[in-house]
Amino acid sequence: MRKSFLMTLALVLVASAAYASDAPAAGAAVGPTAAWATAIGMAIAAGLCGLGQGMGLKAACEGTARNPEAGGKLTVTLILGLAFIESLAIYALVVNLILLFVKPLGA
Amino acid sequence: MMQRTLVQRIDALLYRRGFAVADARKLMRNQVLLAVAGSALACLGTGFSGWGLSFAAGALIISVNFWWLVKAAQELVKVRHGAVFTLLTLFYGRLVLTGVAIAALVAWLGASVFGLLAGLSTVVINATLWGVLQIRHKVPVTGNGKEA
Repeated sequence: MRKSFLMTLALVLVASAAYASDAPAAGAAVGPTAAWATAIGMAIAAGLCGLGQGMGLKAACEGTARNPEAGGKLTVTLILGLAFIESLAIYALVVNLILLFVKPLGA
Repeated sequence: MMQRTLVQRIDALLYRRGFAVADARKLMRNQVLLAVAGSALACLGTGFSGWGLSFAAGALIISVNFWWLVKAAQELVKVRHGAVFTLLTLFYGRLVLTGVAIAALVAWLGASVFGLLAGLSTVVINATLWGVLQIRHKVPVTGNGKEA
């Protein structure tokens, strides 16, 4: 599982670099490269944040099922965890939008 | 006295809006107060500059986002029959709206990204403060544990 994920990631990165090197001028390659970078970056951020949120929710549901009286405390801890994880996804979104629209790396 | 009344009013409003868990209600109330106070400070302190307005926009977006997150999380741990579709719609609708709002601010309205990021960080500050205060208010364990 991990090996196939890493291989897919490596292939995508190599392909994007190859496509970028095909461009005639270095300045023109920044646009597509930035688009690839934002797409891959957002995909990684969303995927990993989804994994984290799912694991947290799973643990909270199991805890509440085992001990329903602790449900209130578990809910608050769950909310905090979800908020932290989702903040990371939102930060990633903002950074990707900056790369796409503000273009700090050039046009 | 006035501050206590304001806090009680916010608590009562949140309770009516479905924030049944007391600690979740306190978290949401702290977020509202932090967002409002931070936005007022940022706007007044910078003379309603782009940075201040971006901070206020970020704080508003993340507070609305947090509102729906808390409501969804309260229900997620005890899902009732038939509530799954509503919960999913709420969860993904909230995410889509947040994404569209941030995209509109960054891409088309030209908001200050640092101000926006600072506004979005209010929820992280709120959660961190909550955690620190919980650790500080925890009653220390007395004895050496051999009684058990």
